[in-house]
Amino acid sequence: MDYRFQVNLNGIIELLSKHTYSSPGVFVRELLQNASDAILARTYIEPGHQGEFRIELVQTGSTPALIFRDNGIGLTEEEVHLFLATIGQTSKRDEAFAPRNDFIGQFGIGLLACFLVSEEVVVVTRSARKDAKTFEWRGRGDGTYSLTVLDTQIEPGTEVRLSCKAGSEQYFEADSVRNSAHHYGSLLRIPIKFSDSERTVLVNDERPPWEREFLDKESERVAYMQYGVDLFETEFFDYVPLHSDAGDVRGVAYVLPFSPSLAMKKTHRVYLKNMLLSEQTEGLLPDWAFFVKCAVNARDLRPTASRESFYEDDALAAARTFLGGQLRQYLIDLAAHDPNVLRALIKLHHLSFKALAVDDEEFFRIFMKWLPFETNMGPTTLTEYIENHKVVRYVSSWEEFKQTSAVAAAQSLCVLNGGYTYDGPLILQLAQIFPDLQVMHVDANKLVLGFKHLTLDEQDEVENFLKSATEVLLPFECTPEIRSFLPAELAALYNADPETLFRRSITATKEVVDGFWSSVLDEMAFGLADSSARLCFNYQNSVVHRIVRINDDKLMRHAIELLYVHAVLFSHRPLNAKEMALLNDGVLGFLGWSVDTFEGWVQ
Amino acid sequence: MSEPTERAAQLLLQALDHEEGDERIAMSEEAVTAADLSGDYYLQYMAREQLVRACTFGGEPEKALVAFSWMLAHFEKRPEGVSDWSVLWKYKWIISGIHEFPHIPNTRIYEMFADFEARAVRAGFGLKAAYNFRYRFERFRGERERAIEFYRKMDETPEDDLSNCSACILDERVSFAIYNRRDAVELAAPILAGELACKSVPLRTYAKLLLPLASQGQDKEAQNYHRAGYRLIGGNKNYLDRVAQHIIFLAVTRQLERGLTLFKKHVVWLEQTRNVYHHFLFYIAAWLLFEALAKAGNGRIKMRRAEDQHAPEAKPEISALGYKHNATVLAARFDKRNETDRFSTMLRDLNVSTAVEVLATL
Repeated sequence: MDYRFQVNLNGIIELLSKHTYSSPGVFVRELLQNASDAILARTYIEPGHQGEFRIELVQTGSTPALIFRDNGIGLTEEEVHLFLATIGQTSKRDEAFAPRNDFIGQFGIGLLACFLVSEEVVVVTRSARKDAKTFEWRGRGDGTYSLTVLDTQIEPGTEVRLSCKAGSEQYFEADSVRNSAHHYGSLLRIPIKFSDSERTVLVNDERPPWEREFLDKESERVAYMQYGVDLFETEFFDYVPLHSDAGDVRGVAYVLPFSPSLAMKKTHRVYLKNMLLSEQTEGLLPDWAFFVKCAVNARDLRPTASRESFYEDDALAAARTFLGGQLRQYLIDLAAHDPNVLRALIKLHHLSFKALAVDDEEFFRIFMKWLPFETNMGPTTLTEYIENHKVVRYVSSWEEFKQTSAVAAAQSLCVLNGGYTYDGPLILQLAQIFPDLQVMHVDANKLVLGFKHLTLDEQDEVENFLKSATEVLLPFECTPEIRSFLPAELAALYNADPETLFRRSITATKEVVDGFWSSVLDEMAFGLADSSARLCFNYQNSVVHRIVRINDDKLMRHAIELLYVHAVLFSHRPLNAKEMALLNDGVLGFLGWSVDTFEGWVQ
Repeated sequence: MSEPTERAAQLLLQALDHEEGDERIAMSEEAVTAADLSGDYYLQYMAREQLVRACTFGGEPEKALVAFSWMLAHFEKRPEGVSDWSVLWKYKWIISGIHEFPHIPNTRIYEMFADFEARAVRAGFGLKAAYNFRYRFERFRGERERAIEFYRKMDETPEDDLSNCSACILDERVSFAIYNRRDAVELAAPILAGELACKSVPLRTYAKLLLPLASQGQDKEAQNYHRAGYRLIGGNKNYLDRVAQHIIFLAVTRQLERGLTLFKKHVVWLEQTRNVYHHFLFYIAAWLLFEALAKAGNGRIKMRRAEDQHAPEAKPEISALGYKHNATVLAARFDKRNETDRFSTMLRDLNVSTAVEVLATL
């Protein structure tokens, strides 16, 4: 008898393929899932039943066909109607994404995936319960189906037959089917056998290393490392077996042999009850653990509908803490017993370890002597730094590092660069860990405070100069001062706090925007704290030394303007239009002046 | 290639391999500087574009504004090779946070809305995105009726390439349900199930559901969302407002030790961000947390950080007062700009016992 689905099957299939299935090849996964569930259900009523799943690739005429056969629980007539109802109900997408907790619901939705590659899906099934008949269901992509009782009885179980739809040939090639079956089902305990016209092979012939027993440490190591190569095609640096009672998780973490890129971080291969859930699972490990790639099987965690991650619940939180603890312990053991390995590891993964140290004081203490930090005098570790310096000096941004490093070095001050994501917070933590340690933030202004003041006589000498400088620099919102400092070659140090720099970028941008945006920028600038840039002239610099003694007021002003522009350029900042004009006038003015002077000599 | 050209290009690429946050911003800023020195127009434009993105998602919207205004000015002069969409999409980022700076006047904000609408229409887009801004701003001001009116308009306007992604649209619906004190959790199901996600969803969704759940007594669920949502914030100061929501949740559910840990970890973000509304929320969170600590009988709290401006030890009563004062000052600034009294009214009735009720619809 022929029936029609109450729904537009094509619409559903499109929906599923768009939202749930990453590739049409997932029908293999869905059928494996169905078979695995069916066999599990049968062992409940027949303890000791040996499950088996067979995949057969055959040719019917010129069209390849696939037959999937399990010896699971099979379906009764009532259940066949139930799964048909499930397909019918799938008309709303919410239901297509509902957790597939119940066996029959999963069965129906799993079958839908088959229509992605086959125009007609034939299911022959017989329940393992007493006196069951054999049913044949034929569903077609156009939405019609038939259900008949067969005269011949099959062994209890279910058989699904697919014939290749035009355009799906790639999914009916022997290699592709066998690889998919292995990909999704390699951990399944029921044997999966694949046959084509030539031979029959066992697809899942090997148990993962965490389910095997080893005679010694070395053979365990070989097995784990080889498994990593097979699974991820990567020669990993090392491995850490993982195991958590919470969530019933077992597996392995492989230490990456390179620093992971952003896109690679935090994605792991996760099996749920031995079926591959996803290769992109997030959230199972703590966020800091991006130095490993895992393969794990979880028996007791709840996947989200997208099947890309797990529900955030207590079990997941507990599992995460537990697995994180094992990775942490691995690192601490390395620190204690295998410093050379750790050293190599830190070269690749110090970011990951710093991320852990930020929230884990004990770990930080242990790893302080290993983790690399940057200073203006080269690389160091915090342990080394503390041994050599009574005061910890640090900058909190790249900008500050750029502004201060050379000048600080000239004063023999070693400054840590806290501009990196985890470095700043770790440096601040030093104060918590060592209450007697003085931890000091440094910026260019604070450095200037440490420069030598001029003597009273010297102050008299520079009075005129400072007066002129104040006037010249006023339009540039810059305050001059003069001190003696190293290096003597540096004529003047331009420094600006973040507020000033931001204001500078506003001033420069206002030169190119229209009236409306100019007002917006003004209003934004208005909300900033008061600040101005500072230009600290170096009394020790021979040029500055001569300029302060110039008697010609105009010449002195020109000189100050050029010193200012030079200092701004020296701090690697582009000039704004006003400063550019200053540079232009200054250089041309001096050129004219020196040509005049030179001509005077010649005459 | 000249040296600055090469350096700019290199920095642009390098920045992309960093999480959103300070380092990415610093690299993008350096790229802008190098690009400006190189004088290569397209590099300057690309670097600004990346800076706008990095600052928007790294918690420095004021810098994004400056870089965006540069982009817009140059786009108008040389539109070839740049799509209207790519400019308008960034304009959305700028507008959606502009009201969080109380020194930007009302009139300017409305002018900006009108400017965006004109540009969107000229480029052939609908007004769904624009209604979204208008709704959010009126809601922010406390103009409930007008807010609801714009929400309806937004809801009735069909989606287009300028409107939000489906995760954000649903997140907005969740917010609206909370605003109307309707059950939002069921509505949020596709987000909570991991089916809909984007850059900031579910992070935002988790945070805004905390108080509504707590008010319904669903503590366990709230706790799960707190854990999940806080994890996603990581070290990105862009989410100081969400951190504040988590701390408020911890204060009202009396998880004070954890609240204090979060406070100590994130208080330094106040110095690293200029978003005034984020500061406002964090002040509220700190005030409620310290009030709860005082009530619980905590005598003194060790605050030692490097070179702390705060006293090394503080009485929670005093800290609570200080933060309450800061919040009150900002509430007045926002109200003055908004020409309403929403925030001052809100603070008048606020304490750690009323917080669930008063702040649930925030």
